[in-house]
Amino acid sequence: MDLTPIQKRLLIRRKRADRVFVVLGAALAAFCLSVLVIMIAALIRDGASRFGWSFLTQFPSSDPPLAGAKSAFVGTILVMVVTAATAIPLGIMAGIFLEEYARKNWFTAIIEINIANLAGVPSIIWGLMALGLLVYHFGTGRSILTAGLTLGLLVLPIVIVATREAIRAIPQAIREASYACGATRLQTVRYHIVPYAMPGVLTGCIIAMSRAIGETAPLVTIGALTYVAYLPPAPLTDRPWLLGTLSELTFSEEDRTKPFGSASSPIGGLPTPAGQIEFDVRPDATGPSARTVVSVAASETLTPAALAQAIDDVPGVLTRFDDDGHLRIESELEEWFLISKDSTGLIDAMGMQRGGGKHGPLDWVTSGFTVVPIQMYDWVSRAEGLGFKPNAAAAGILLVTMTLAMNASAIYLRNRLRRSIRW
Amino acid sequence: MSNAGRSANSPGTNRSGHTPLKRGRLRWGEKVFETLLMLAAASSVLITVGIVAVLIVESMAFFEDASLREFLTGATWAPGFDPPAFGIRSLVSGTLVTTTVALFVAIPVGTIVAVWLSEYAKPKVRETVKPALELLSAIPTVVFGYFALLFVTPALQWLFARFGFSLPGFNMLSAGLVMGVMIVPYIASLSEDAMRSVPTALREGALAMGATKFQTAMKVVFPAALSGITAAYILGISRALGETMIVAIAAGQEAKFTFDPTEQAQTITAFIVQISGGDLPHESTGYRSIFAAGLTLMIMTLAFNVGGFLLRRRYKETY
Repeated sequence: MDLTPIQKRLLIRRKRADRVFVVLGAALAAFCLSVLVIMIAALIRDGASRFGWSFLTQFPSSDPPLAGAKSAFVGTILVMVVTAATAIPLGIMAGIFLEEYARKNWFTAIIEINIANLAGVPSIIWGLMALGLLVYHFGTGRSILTAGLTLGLLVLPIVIVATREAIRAIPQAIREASYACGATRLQTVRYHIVPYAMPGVLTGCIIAMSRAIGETAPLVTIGALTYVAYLPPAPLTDRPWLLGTLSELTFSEEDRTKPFGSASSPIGGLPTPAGQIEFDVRPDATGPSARTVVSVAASETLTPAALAQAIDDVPGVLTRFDDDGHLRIESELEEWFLISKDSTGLIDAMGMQRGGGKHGPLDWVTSGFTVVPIQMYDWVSRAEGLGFKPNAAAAGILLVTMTLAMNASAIYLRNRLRRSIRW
Repeated sequence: MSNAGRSANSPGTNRSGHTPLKRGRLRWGEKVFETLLMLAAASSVLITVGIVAVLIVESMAFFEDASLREFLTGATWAPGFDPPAFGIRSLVSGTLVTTTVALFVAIPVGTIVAVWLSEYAKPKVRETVKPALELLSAIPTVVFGYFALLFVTPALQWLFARFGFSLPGFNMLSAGLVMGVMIVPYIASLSEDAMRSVPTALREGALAMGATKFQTAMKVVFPAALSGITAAYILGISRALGETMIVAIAAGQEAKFTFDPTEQAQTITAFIVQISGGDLPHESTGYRSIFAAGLTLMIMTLAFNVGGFLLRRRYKETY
């Protein structure tokens, strides 16, 4: 067919949009992917010098070349354990209920709408919920437990949706065959639905965990610490060591300068304390100990602040009042200590753990903590002036490695599944 | 056989001599299991109740000390000052500016990438690019924050300086731009899903009428998928409003009522992070203000979602 020049020009013009779009779409997709690459390259450029084995085996420090992410890395793993223990069973059970059991009624409708909406709640709101409900109302404190529960609930919708999709992909014939063989509903779920859905569920769980690992905002909100120079207590280890021990009583600014004996002090009414507090300080958990004695003279004017100062003078031991007014006695980096004797009665009166025995299997759950993203946030905020940029970047490398590895394995798993399953 | 008939027989055997199934015990286990599953599903409703209750109860406590009128109309937000000032406007402006900057990047880029993936890209390319883009959204936001503060901001400062302008170290522009790139995968992925679920017959119809691929994509597929695309945009907006770490790190920590993206300003989320980081004592009004700020954020998110829902219903096409 012969075209007039005008027709030809029109045809070319019409096709031009197509050609532009092919290039534009590919260019923009490439741009987004290049941001990913540049971001990782920037992290490696800034952080390669700090990243390495020592980064994972050193506690944080005020000296950037020595500051590592040991406590943050361990904290992340422990928080993830609690998160997985919350989100995975709860999510799978809820998913099974909605797909296999739920009848079409208002109750199911509410749950479904609710789950869809929960997935859209900003993560910082979860932090506020955890702060108001868990930390203050249920008193779980700023602990690994609180953090794990918060993140577990946050990623719950992801697990539920993944479970439902995996179950929905199972053909109805499988269920009918199972029922036809005389299986009950529970047996069908147990022996057919769950096993067949498992790979899909697993993919969803990995994605959920990788999302939880990177979450920072809710954990900042519940008050995760930024400087943690100890590890949570391992189960069944000896417990004489008062690392980061905390008084049950709180001392306001005023109380700290009031004598212990005075009626308005938090431990008012105590006879004027006098005696000795003995500390066994060791360079590490198994090394030889050195005994240091703090003498408390019978004095009408001994105040919590003065006592804290006296204990603070013991080498290897630090004291401070935290934001809530609790007196904290902590060990310096790598030092361990034990209050072996207290004839003053003050330590007991303040409700401090005296130690002894073994840690319970779940003691670590109530420990204070930090996680890698929070450690990174802390370092980023001190990047320029104080030279923590390499540390921040190294923490970034660690985080990106963990999340990308998890996501890549999830994608791999998903693709393999698609190929291997033929109903 | 009816139950009444069976209970009349001697226990253990029925009329034909077989041992009957112990149906009662089996059913009991089933019932317990079903109840457990139902409780697990219902727990999600409890969580929502918990979130709403905490926000409302704590905000009420806040408004006992601070006036609602000042909250809505006051121009300054300075909860740590004496006397404190609680005008949420300054935080809302920061949130809206960073969100707008992010959407200026995310909506065009996300939509074009989605159209390209769904209408132009070969299946093999699509199956590679889509998961790769999803990897981008898997990167923790604190890493994006690092990137915004220590890479994009210096780059923008250099660029601004070449044209004789200056840019502060904290600014909403770089936070918003990086946030936009972070949101692209959400929008692209969901929009692409929506466009691909448009029946092929519609495309074939358009192509048969002589439309080019571009005309088919823009005049047939895009409108048909508009409901799903709107949902993707709404998700993107929600993400941008609630995004915390990027703005907390790169946009600044000082509440300021401004709509100039080259300035520093605090968003609602950055404020919550700053206060929880431990500036104010617990029982203070300033501390409680994080819940009122959170409630405001929640209401803004909800408003966009409801608006989106209404829009979607208008554009909904069924085939």
